[in-house]
Amino acid sequence: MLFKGRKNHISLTCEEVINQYSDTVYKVALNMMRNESDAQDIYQEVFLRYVKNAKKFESFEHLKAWLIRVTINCCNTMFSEKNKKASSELIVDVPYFDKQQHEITYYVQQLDEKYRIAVHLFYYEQYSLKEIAHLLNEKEATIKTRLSRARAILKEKWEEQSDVR
Amino acid sequence: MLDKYKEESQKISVPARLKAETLIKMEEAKRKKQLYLGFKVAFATLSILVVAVVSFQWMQPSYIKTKLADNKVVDEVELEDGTLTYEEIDSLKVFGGGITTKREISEEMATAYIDLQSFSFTDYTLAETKFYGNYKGLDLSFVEVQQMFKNKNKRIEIRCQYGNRNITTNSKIGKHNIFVSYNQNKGKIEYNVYFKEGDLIYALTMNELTQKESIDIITQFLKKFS
Repeated sequence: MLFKGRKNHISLTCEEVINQYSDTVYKVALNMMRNESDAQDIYQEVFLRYVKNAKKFESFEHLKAWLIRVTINCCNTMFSEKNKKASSELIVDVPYFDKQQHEITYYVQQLDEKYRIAVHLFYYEQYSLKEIAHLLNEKEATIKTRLSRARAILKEKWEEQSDVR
Repeated sequence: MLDKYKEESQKISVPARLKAETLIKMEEAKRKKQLYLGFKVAFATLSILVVAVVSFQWMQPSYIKTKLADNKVVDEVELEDGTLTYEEIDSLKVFGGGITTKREISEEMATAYIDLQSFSFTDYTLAETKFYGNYKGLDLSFVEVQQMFKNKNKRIEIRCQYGNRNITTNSKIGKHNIFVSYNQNKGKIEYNVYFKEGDLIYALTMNELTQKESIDIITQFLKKFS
Protein backbone atom coordinates (compact mmCIF):
# COMPACT_ATOMS: atom_id res chain seq x y z
CA MET A 1 0.00 0.00 0.00
CA LEU A 2 1.29 3.39 -0.92
CA PHE A 3 1.14 6.20 1.55
CA LYS A 4 2.79 9.50 2.17
CA GLY A 5 5.12 9.59 5.15
CA ARG A 6 5.98 12.54 7.35
CA LYS A 7 7.66 15.57 5.76
CA ASN A 8 6.13 14.55 2.42
CA HIS A 9 8.37 11.53 2.02
CA ILE A 10 7.00 8.53 0.23
CA SER A 11 7.22 5.13 1.81
CA LEU A 12 6.98 1.84 -0.06
CA THR A 13 7.35 -1.75 0.97
CA CYS A 14 9.96 -3.91 -0.76
CA GLU A 15 7.27 -5.69 -2.72
CA GLU A 16 5.76 -2.43 -3.93
CA VAL A 17 9.13 -1.15 -5.10
CA ILE A 18 9.83 -4.41 -6.94
CA ASN A 19 6.42 -4.45 -8.59
CA GLN A 20 6.58 -0.83 -9.63
CA TYR A 21 10.17 -0.41 -10.77
CA SER A 22 11.33 -3.87 -11.84
CA ASP A 23 10.85 -3.21 -15.54
CA THR A 24 12.60 0.14 -15.47
CA VAL A 25 15.67 -1.15 -13.65
CA TYR A 26 15.93 -4.39 -15.58
CA LYS A 27 15.53 -2.77 -18.98
CA VAL A 28 18.09 -0.06 -18.31
CA ALA A 29 20.54 -2.71 -17.05
CA LEU A 30 19.86 -4.99 -20.01
CA ASN A 31 20.16 -2.11 -22.43
CA MET A 32 23.51 -1.11 -21.02
CA MET A 33 25.02 -4.54 -20.39
CA ARG A 34 23.49 -6.39 -23.38
CA ASN A 35 23.78 -9.48 -21.24
CA GLU A 36 20.97 -11.03 -19.22
CA SER A 37 23.21 -12.46 -16.54
CA ASP A 38 24.91 -9.13 -15.84
CA ALA A 39 21.57 -7.33 -16.02
CA GLN A 40 20.14 -9.69 -13.40
CA ASP A 41 23.12 -9.16 -11.09
CA ILE A 42 22.74 -5.42 -11.41
CA TYR A 43 18.99 -5.65 -10.89
CA GLN A 44 19.53 -7.37 -7.51
CA GLU A 45 22.31 -5.00 -6.52
CA VAL A 46 20.15 -1.93 -7.22
CA PHE A 47 17.23 -3.12 -5.10
CA LEU A 48 19.50 -4.19 -2.26
CA ARG A 49 21.05 -0.72 -2.32
CA TYR A 50 17.56 0.71 -2.08
CA VAL A 51 16.97 -1.23 1.17
CA LYS A 52 20.38 -0.41 2.65
CA ASN A 53 20.14 3.23 1.66
CA ALA A 54 18.54 5.50 4.25
CA LYS A 55 17.61 8.07 1.62
CA LYS A 56 14.15 9.60 1.77
CA PHE A 57 12.34 10.16 -1.48
CA GLU A 58 10.08 13.12 -2.04
CA SER A 59 8.10 11.60 -4.89
CA PHE A 60 7.79 8.49 -7.02
CA GLU A 61 9.57 10.31 -9.83
CA HIS A 62 12.43 11.04 -7.46
CA LEU A 63 12.64 7.37 -6.52
CA LYS A 64 12.52 6.24 -10.14
CA ALA A 65 15.26 8.68 -11.14
CA TRP A 66 17.38 7.49 -8.20
CA LEU A 67 16.94 3.85 -9.21
CA ILE A 68 17.91 4.60 -12.81
CA ARG A 69 20.93 6.59 -11.64
CA VAL A 70 22.06 3.74 -9.38
CA THR A 71 21.50 1.22 -12.20
CA ILE A 72 23.69 3.27 -14.55
CA ASN A 73 26.36 3.59 -11.85
CA CYS A 74 26.33 -0.15 -11.20
CA CYS A 75 26.64 -0.83 -14.94
CA ASN A 76 29.57 1.57 -15.21
CA THR A 77 31.24 -0.11 -12.24
CA MET A 78 30.78 -3.50 -13.87
CA PHE A 79 32.20 -2.16 -17.13
CA SER A 80 35.29 -0.86 -15.40
CA GLU A 81 35.74 -4.11 -13.45
CA LYS A 82 35.50 -6.07 -16.68
CA ASN A 83 38.05 -3.79 -18.30
CA LYS A 84 40.43 -4.26 -15.39
CA LYS A 85 40.16 -8.01 -15.61
CA ALA A 86 40.65 -7.80 -19.37
CA SER A 87 38.41 -10.78 -19.86
CA SER A 88 36.69 -11.45 -23.12
CA GLU A 89 32.94 -11.01 -23.01
CA LEU A 90 30.87 -14.14 -23.11
CA ILE A 91 28.42 -13.69 -25.94
CA VAL A 92 25.04 -15.00 -24.93
CA ASP A 93 22.07 -14.63 -27.18
CA VAL A 94 19.44 -12.42 -25.65
CA PRO A 95 16.04 -13.40 -27.04
CA TYR A 96 14.82 -9.82 -26.96
CA PHE A 97 17.62 -8.73 -29.24
CA ASP A 98 16.66 -11.18 -31.94
CA LYS A 99 16.73 -9.47 -35.31
CA GLN A 100 13.73 -11.26 -36.72
CA GLN A 101 11.33 -10.57 -33.90
CA HIS A 102 12.67 -7.31 -32.45
CA GLU A 103 14.19 -5.55 -35.39
CA ILE A 104 14.46 -2.04 -33.98
CA THR A 105 15.72 -3.28 -30.63
CA TYR A 106 18.33 -5.29 -32.49
CA TYR A 107 19.61 -2.19 -34.28
CA VAL A 108 19.52 -0.10 -31.11
CA GLN A 109 21.65 -2.72 -29.41
CA GLN A 110 24.25 -2.35 -32.17
CA LEU A 111 24.80 1.27 -31.13
CA ASP A 112 27.50 2.39 -28.71
CA GLU A 113 26.52 2.30 -25.04
CA LYS A 114 26.28 6.10 -24.76
CA TYR A 115 23.79 6.20 -27.65
CA ARG A 116 21.83 3.16 -26.48
CA ILE A 117 21.06 4.52 -23.04
CA ALA A 118 20.04 7.92 -24.43
CA VAL A 119 17.68 6.28 -26.93
CA HIS A 120 16.22 4.00 -24.25
CA LEU A 121 15.58 6.80 -21.75
CA PHE A 122 14.12 9.06 -24.43
CA TYR A 123 11.94 6.64 -26.40
CA TYR A 124 11.03 4.06 -23.79
CA GLU A 125 11.10 5.90 -20.46
CA GLN A 126 9.88 9.09 -22.14
CA TYR A 127 12.29 11.34 -20.28
CA SER A 128 12.99 14.81 -21.63
CA LEU A 129 16.45 15.87 -22.81
CA LYS A 130 16.91 17.85 -19.61
CA GLU A 131 15.98 14.89 -17.43
CA ILE A 132 18.28 12.52 -19.32
CA ALA A 133 21.10 15.05 -19.03
CA HIS A 134 20.54 15.16 -15.28
CA LEU A 135 20.42 11.37 -14.99
CA LEU A 136 23.59 10.87 -17.00
CA ASN A 137 25.45 13.85 -15.56
CA GLU A 138 25.88 15.32 -19.01
CA LYS A 139 24.99 18.58 -20.70
CA GLU A 140 21.63 18.81 -22.43
CA ALA A 141 23.35 19.65 -25.73
CA THR A 142 25.45 16.49 -25.45
CA ILE A 143 22.35 14.35 -25.08
CA LYS A 144 20.69 16.13 -27.98
CA THR A 145 23.74 15.41 -30.16
CA ARG A 146 23.86 11.77 -29.06
CA LEU A 147 20.19 11.26 -29.90
CA SER A 148 20.64 12.94 -33.23
CA ARG A 149 23.65 10.76 -34.10
CA ALA A 150 21.83 7.65 -32.90
CA ARG A 151 18.88 8.46 -35.15
CA ALA A 152 21.20 9.04 -38.09
CA ILE A 153 23.02 5.72 -37.58
CA LEU A 154 19.76 3.83 -37.14
CA LYS A 155 18.29 5.46 -40.24
CA GLU A 156 21.35 4.52 -42.24
CA LYS A 157 21.19 0.91 -41.05
CA TRP A 158 17.46 0.74 -41.65
CA GLU A 159 17.86 1.98 -45.22
CA GLU A 160 20.72 -0.46 -45.86
CA GLN A 161 18.50 -3.24 -44.65
CA SER A 162 15.61 -2.07 -46.81
CA ASP A 163 17.89 -2.07 -49.88
CA VAL A 164 18.94 -5.63 -49.15
CA ARG A 165 15.33 -6.63 -49.04
CA MET B 1 10.75 3.99 -36.73
CA LEU B 2 11.87 4.53 -33.11
CA ASP B 3 8.28 4.56 -31.90
CA LYS B 4 8.37 0.87 -32.58
CA TYR B 5 11.26 0.58 -30.14
CA LYS B 6 8.95 1.25 -27.22
CA GLU B 7 6.54 -1.34 -28.46
CA GLU B 8 9.30 -3.93 -28.71
CA SER B 9 10.84 -3.01 -25.36
CA GLN B 10 7.51 -3.50 -23.64
CA LYS B 11 7.74 -7.17 -24.50
CA ILE B 12 10.82 -7.52 -22.33
CA SER B 13 9.80 -8.81 -18.93
CA VAL B 14 11.70 -9.44 -15.76
CA PRO B 15 12.02 -13.16 -14.96
CA ALA B 16 9.64 -14.09 -12.13
CA ARG B 17 12.41 -16.08 -10.41
CA LEU B 18 14.63 -13.00 -10.37
CA LYS B 19 11.85 -10.91 -8.86
CA ALA B 20 11.16 -13.47 -6.14
CA GLU B 21 14.83 -13.94 -5.28
CA THR B 22 15.41 -10.22 -5.11
CA LEU B 23 12.40 -9.71 -2.91
CA ILE B 24 13.66 -12.35 -0.44
CA LYS B 25 17.11 -10.74 -0.36
CA MET B 26 15.57 -7.31 0.16
CA GLU B 27 13.47 -8.49 3.09
CA GLU B 28 16.51 -10.14 4.64
CA ALA B 29 18.62 -7.00 4.22
CA LYS B 30 15.81 -4.95 5.74
CA ARG B 31 15.63 -7.24 8.77
CA LYS B 32 19.39 -7.05 9.28
CA LYS B 33 19.27 -3.27 9.02
CA GLN B 34 16.47 -3.04 11.58
CA LEU B 35 18.35 -5.38 13.90
CA TYR B 36 21.48 -3.26 13.59
CA LEU B 37 19.51 -0.08 14.26
CA GLY B 38 17.88 -1.75 17.27
CA PHE B 39 21.29 -2.64 18.69
CA LYS B 40 22.52 0.87 18.11
CA VAL B 41 19.55 2.42 19.92
CA ALA B 42 19.81 -0.08 22.79
CA PHE B 43 23.52 0.57 23.19
CA ALA B 44 23.03 4.35 23.16
CA THR B 45 20.21 4.11 25.72
CA LEU B 46 22.26 1.85 27.96
CA SER B 47 25.26 4.20 27.77
CA ILE B 48 23.11 7.19 28.72
CA LEU B 49 21.58 5.26 31.62
CA VAL B 50 24.98 4.18 32.96
CA VAL B 51 26.34 7.73 32.75
CA ALA B 52 23.21 9.09 34.42
CA VAL B 53 23.32 6.57 37.28
CA VAL B 54 27.04 7.08 37.91
CA SER B 55 26.71 10.87 37.79
CA PHE B 56 23.70 10.83 40.06
CA GLN B 57 25.45 8.66 42.63
CA TRP B 58 28.60 10.75 42.46
CA MET B 59 26.65 13.93 43.08
CA GLN B 60 25.00 12.66 46.22
CA PRO B 61 26.27 14.40 49.39
CA SER B 62 26.22 11.10 51.27
CA TYR B 63 28.48 9.58 48.62
CA ILE B 64 30.87 12.54 48.86
CA LYS B 65 30.96 12.35 52.62
CA THR B 66 31.64 8.63 52.49
CA LYS B 67 34.51 9.28 50.15
CA LEU B 68 35.83 11.99 52.44
CA ALA B 69 35.54 9.79 55.48
CA ASP B 70 37.65 7.24 53.63
CA ASN B 71 40.30 9.84 52.98
CA LYS B 72 43.58 9.05 54.67
CA VAL B 73 44.30 12.65 55.62
CA VAL B 74 41.18 12.78 57.74
CA ASP B 75 41.92 9.40 59.26
CA GLU B 76 45.34 10.55 60.35
CA VAL B 77 44.04 13.34 62.57
CA GLU B 78 44.87 12.51 66.15
CA LEU B 79 41.95 13.21 68.35
CA GLU B 80 43.63 13.67 71.70
CA ASP B 81 42.08 15.21 74.73
CA GLY B 82 42.01 18.94 74.40
CA THR B 83 42.01 18.91 70.60
CA LEU B 84 38.87 18.93 68.54
CA THR B 85 37.02 15.87 67.39
CA TYR B 86 36.17 15.46 63.76
CA GLU B 87 32.60 16.59 64.46
CA GLU B 88 33.82 19.59 66.37
CA ILE B 89 36.09 20.65 63.55
CA ASP B 90 33.15 20.35 61.22
CA SER B 91 30.94 22.37 63.52
CA LEU B 92 33.44 25.21 63.62
CA LYS B 93 32.60 26.37 60.13
CA VAL B 94 32.56 30.11 60.37
CA PHE B 95 30.65 30.77 57.21
CA GLY B 96 28.61 27.62 57.09
CA GLY B 97 27.89 25.43 54.12
CA GLY B 98 30.20 23.17 52.27
CA ILE B 99 32.27 20.34 53.54
CA THR B 100 35.07 21.37 55.79
CA THR B 101 37.28 18.32 55.89
CA LYS B 102 39.31 18.92 52.74
CA ARG B 103 40.74 22.31 51.95
CA GLU B 104 42.58 24.14 49.29
CA ILE B 105 45.16 26.50 50.68
CA SER B 106 45.71 29.91 49.17
CA GLU B 107 49.25 31.10 48.70
CA GLU B 108 48.81 33.95 51.15
CA MET B 109 47.38 31.60 53.72
CA ALA B 110 50.30 29.24 53.43
CA THR B 111 52.76 32.09 53.87
CA ALA B 112 50.86 33.41 56.85
CA TYR B 113 50.86 29.98 58.38
CA ILE B 114 54.64 29.61 58.05
CA ASP B 115 55.11 32.98 59.73
CA LEU B 116 52.78 32.11 62.55
CA GLN B 117 54.76 28.97 63.23
CA SER B 118 57.71 31.14 64.18
CA PHE B 119 55.49 33.54 66.07
CA SER B 120 56.93 33.99 69.57
CA PHE B 121 53.99 33.35 71.72
CA THR B 122 55.65 32.08 74.84
CA ASP B 123 52.78 30.41 76.61
CA TYR B 124 51.67 28.45 73.61
CA THR B 125 53.29 25.62 71.76
CA LEU B 126 52.31 24.41 68.42
CA ALA B 127 50.53 21.24 69.27
CA GLU B 128 48.93 20.21 66.06
CA THR B 129 48.56 21.64 62.65
CA LYS B 130 46.58 20.02 60.01
CA PHE B 131 45.99 20.90 56.42
CA TYR B 132 43.24 18.90 54.93
CA GLY B 133 44.64 18.70 51.48
CA ASN B 134 43.39 19.98 48.21
CA TYR B 135 39.79 19.93 47.32
CA LYS B 136 39.59 20.23 43.60
CA GLY B 137 37.07 18.65 41.34
CA LEU B 138 34.08 19.29 43.57
CA ASP B 139 32.41 22.63 43.20
CA LEU B 140 32.83 23.93 46.70
CA SER B 141 33.87 27.50 47.22
CA PHE B 142 34.93 27.07 50.79
CA VAL B 143 38.66 26.99 51.43
CA GLU B 144 40.23 26.85 54.76
CA VAL B 145 43.44 26.54 56.59
CA GLN B 146 43.07 25.56 60.13
CA GLN B 147 45.73 25.83 62.73
CA MET B 148 45.47 24.80 66.28
CA PHE B 149 47.82 26.12 68.90
CA LYS B 150 47.19 24.03 71.91
CA ASN B 151 47.71 24.72 75.50
CA LYS B 152 44.96 23.10 77.46
CA ASN B 153 41.86 24.48 75.77
CA LYS B 154 43.52 27.45 74.14
CA ARG B 155 43.69 27.54 70.37
CA ILE B 156 43.73 29.80 67.35
CA GLU B 157 41.89 28.88 64.24
CA ILE B 158 42.34 30.64 60.95
CA ARG B 159 40.01 30.02 58.06
CA CYS B 160 39.32 31.67 54.77
CA GLN B 161 36.56 31.53 52.23
CA TYR B 162 36.10 32.65 48.65
CA GLY B 163 33.03 34.68 48.03
CA ASN B 164 31.32 38.00 47.81
CA ARG B 165 30.04 38.07 51.33
CA ASN B 166 30.17 41.49 52.90
CA ILE B 167 31.89 41.92 56.21
CA THR B 168 30.53 44.41 58.67
CA THR B 169 33.45 46.24 60.23
CA ASN B 170 33.60 47.48 63.78
CA SER B 171 37.33 47.93 64.22
CA LYS B 172 40.50 48.63 62.33
CA ILE B 173 44.04 47.31 62.51
CA GLY B 174 46.42 49.22 60.21
CA LYS B 175 44.64 49.67 56.91
CA HIS B 176 42.44 46.62 57.47
CA ASN B 177 38.81 46.87 58.42
CA ILE B 178 37.92 44.02 60.70
CA PHE B 179 34.93 42.67 62.54
CA VAL B 180 35.52 41.45 66.04
CA SER B 181 33.02 39.52 68.04
CA TYR B 182 33.42 38.33 71.57
CA ASN B 183 31.76 35.38 73.18
CA GLN B 184 31.84 34.09 76.65
CA ASN B 185 30.50 30.62 77.02
CA LYS B 186 30.70 28.68 80.23
CA GLY B 187 33.53 30.84 81.43
CA LYS B 188 35.51 30.40 78.20
CA ILE B 189 36.33 33.50 76.18
CA GLU B 190 36.34 33.43 72.41
CA TYR B 191 37.31 36.16 70.00
CA ASN B 192 36.13 35.97 66.42
CA VAL B 193 37.80 38.27 63.91
CA TYR B 194 36.75 38.58 60.29
CA PHE B 195 38.33 40.55 57.51
CA LYS B 196 38.36 40.58 53.77
CA GLU B 197 41.34 40.48 51.45
CA GLY B 198 40.66 40.40 47.75
CA ASP B 199 38.21 37.62 47.09
CA LEU B 200 38.99 35.87 50.33
CA ILE B 201 37.25 36.26 53.64
CA TYR B 202 39.41 35.33 56.60
CA ALA B 203 38.22 34.36 60.01
CA LEU B 204 40.32 34.01 63.14
CA THR B 205 38.89 32.34 66.18
CA MET B 206 40.87 32.61 69.36
CA ASN B 207 39.94 30.79 72.49
CA GLU B 208 41.13 31.48 76.00
CA LEU B 209 43.42 34.32 74.92
CA THR B 210 43.55 37.76 76.43
CA GLN B 211 42.52 40.67 74.28
CA LYS B 212 46.15 41.77 73.98
CA GLU B 213 47.28 38.30 72.91
CA SER B 214 44.50 38.19 70.33
CA ILE B 215 45.38 41.58 68.91
CA ASP B 216 49.06 40.59 68.71
CA ILE B 217 48.19 37.52 66.69
CA ILE B 218 45.83 39.38 64.39
CA THR B 219 48.38 42.14 63.82
CA GLN B 220 51.04 39.58 63.01
CA PHE B 221 48.73 37.86 60.61
CA LEU B 222 47.63 41.05 58.91
CA LYS B 223 51.22 42.05 58.26
CA LYS B 224 51.24 39.43 55.52
CA PHE B 225 48.63 41.43 53.64
CA SER B 226 50.07 44.88 54.05
